[in-house]
Amino acid sequence: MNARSLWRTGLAATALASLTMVAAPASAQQGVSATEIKIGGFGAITGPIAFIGAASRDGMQLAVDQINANGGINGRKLRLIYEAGGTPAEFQAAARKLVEQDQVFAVMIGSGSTGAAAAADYLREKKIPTYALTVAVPKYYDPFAPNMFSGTVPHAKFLAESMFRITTSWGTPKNVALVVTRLAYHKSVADGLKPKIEAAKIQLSVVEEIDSGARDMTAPLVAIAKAKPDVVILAADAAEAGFIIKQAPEKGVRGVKWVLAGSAATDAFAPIVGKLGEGVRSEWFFPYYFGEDKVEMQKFEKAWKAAYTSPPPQRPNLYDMSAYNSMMMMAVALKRAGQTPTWDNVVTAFQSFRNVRASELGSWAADISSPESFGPKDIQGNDRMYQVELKNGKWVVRPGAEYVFDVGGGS
Amino acid sequence: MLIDFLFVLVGGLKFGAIYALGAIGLVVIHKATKTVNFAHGALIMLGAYVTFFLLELFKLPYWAVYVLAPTLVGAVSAFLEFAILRPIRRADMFIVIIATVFLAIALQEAVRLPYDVEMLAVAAVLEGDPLFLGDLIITQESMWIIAGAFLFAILGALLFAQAGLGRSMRAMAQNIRGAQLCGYSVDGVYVFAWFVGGGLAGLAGVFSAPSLGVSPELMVATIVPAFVAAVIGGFDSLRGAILGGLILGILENVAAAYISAGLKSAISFLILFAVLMIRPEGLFPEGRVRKV
Repeated sequence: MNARSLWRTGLAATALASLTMVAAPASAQQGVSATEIKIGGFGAITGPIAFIGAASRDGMQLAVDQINANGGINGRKLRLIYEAGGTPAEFQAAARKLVEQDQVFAVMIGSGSTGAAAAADYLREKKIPTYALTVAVPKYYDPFAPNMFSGTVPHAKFLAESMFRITTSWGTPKNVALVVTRLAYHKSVADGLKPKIEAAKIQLSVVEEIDSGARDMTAPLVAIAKAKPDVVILAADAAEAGFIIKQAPEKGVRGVKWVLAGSAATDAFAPIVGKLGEGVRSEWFFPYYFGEDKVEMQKFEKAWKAAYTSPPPQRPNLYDMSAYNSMMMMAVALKRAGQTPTWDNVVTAFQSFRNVRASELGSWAADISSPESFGPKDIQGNDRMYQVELKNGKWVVRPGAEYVFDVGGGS
Repeated sequence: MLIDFLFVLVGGLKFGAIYALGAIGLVVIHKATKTVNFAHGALIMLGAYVTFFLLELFKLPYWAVYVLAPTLVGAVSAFLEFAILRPIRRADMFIVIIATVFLAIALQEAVRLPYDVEMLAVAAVLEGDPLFLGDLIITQESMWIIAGAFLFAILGALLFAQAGLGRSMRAMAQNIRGAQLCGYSVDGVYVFAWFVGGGLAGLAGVFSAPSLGVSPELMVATIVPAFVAAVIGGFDSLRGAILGGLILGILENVAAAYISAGLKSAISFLILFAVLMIRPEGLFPEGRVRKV
């Protein structure tokens, strides 16, 4: 090779290297190309908790479609890759596949608490931006990691405080019964509730554990009837809570106040209990309930029904709502991260959130959730809980019953 | 306290009656075709879904649902025998059993696809004031389930044992070749047995819908107790299946109330193992075992 061709080759190599260096930041982080950003999600889409995972998928996909239809994020489209699972091992495998094989940029947990608990250590270790839609278990929040964010459903200790406030909303009871399923979500809430009840010097006369999916509630109800509590707290899903209340009168449980975990305040509950459900109170995660005559809620419901034209009954549900808002929060963080999103600058972008709403992306987005804020030591976006009461067979948000909690810079 | 025990007893009888109805359909199919139908829970689930559709979407009265749901589920059951199980009838019994297991899963997921909901609910047949017997309270729904499911279970057993239709199935149960030589059609009897068994499953679904809710999980929630009830009864005994269901319902509730609520599901497996190990012919065997 003569000097002239050596010079040309060197020049070409330098030019190529320069081009590569210019282009490098755009594709340096996995899951980001010049045209799209891959977001991973996982949850159950078959099996008994499919109403959580499938709704999480649909809510996030609705948000992704809206975002893409309105120009995407900084010129890139979002793409949701959703992995199915059903058991803790499957959820963990789904998280690994998304990160290692699909090479997603960020992970959204749509499985609820069980899947989050299973995948938390892996995602924490990988330092990939992770956002949990509806996760309460402490194992997700502790030990603290700056990449693990949480949206609608807060840490179990705040849910426990929220339920305790409902328990005392009729006045301080003397005697309380607690029925809890074996699901991680409900157990962690119940664990947070017990010391609060004891600290308030309220007698906790019954603590009954039931199987998730149980329908014959004779045993816990006989124990409750014997204890004669003023308030019965049900840390259970709609079906279990509904059948306890439905079967209560024939087991001699009458005249008690019922308090439900937020996961039970769904449209599945009212048809099970019928008139017996009137006055039942539950914690709730949003300022609105379905069918409310509120602009933002109507905007969301209209968009959801347009996207999923033949929905099954009881949809959209709270998981659709949470997923929609969570994907919007992820999109805001990506937008704030700029043209070259990296894991670090997206985490920093989340930490800059102060009362962020979906409409930061545009007026087309529906503000159905409370505004979210994070900080360097605060990974909990939502910091308020609401209460709903069943009136004439419909859940209604109780005015003035909002509970704003102080995350305190940590989880 | 006695009143606590009575509450437990009534609760046990209510769910035991549903188990009995589920078990009797399982036994009818097994008696006539020697097939252990693990898809029976899925047929019960289907009965509950048909109940929901007829009541809530078509707004039919309950009496019509009690006629239509068993008929429709019986027809689906007969079709499954005709289309899926008949071609593998001469295969190893293991293959037939596996086929029913996967049929169950396929039916369960088939209803989940269009109706992926947490739980569908239907109103009870009777919703009037409960009956007060001293401190004991029995709702009209419980009375109807205990009496109705028990009555239909007995009628199903009588149909099999006494009526001419049941004679062919009993003949097939005794000796297939002999029954053929007597002029009975194997295909006809098999389809009929699956229709009757499926119809009883559909009926169990109608009774289950208000008490257990309508969801794909009803498949597992009913096949396990129906299977255990059938094993307790001896698997080929209709009378045994009815008593097995009632015994299981009561024992589940007694264990949950007096030992631990967590034992409720486990007790059925403990009973299953105990019966299989100690008295595999069941508590009420139909045939006589003679030591030779």
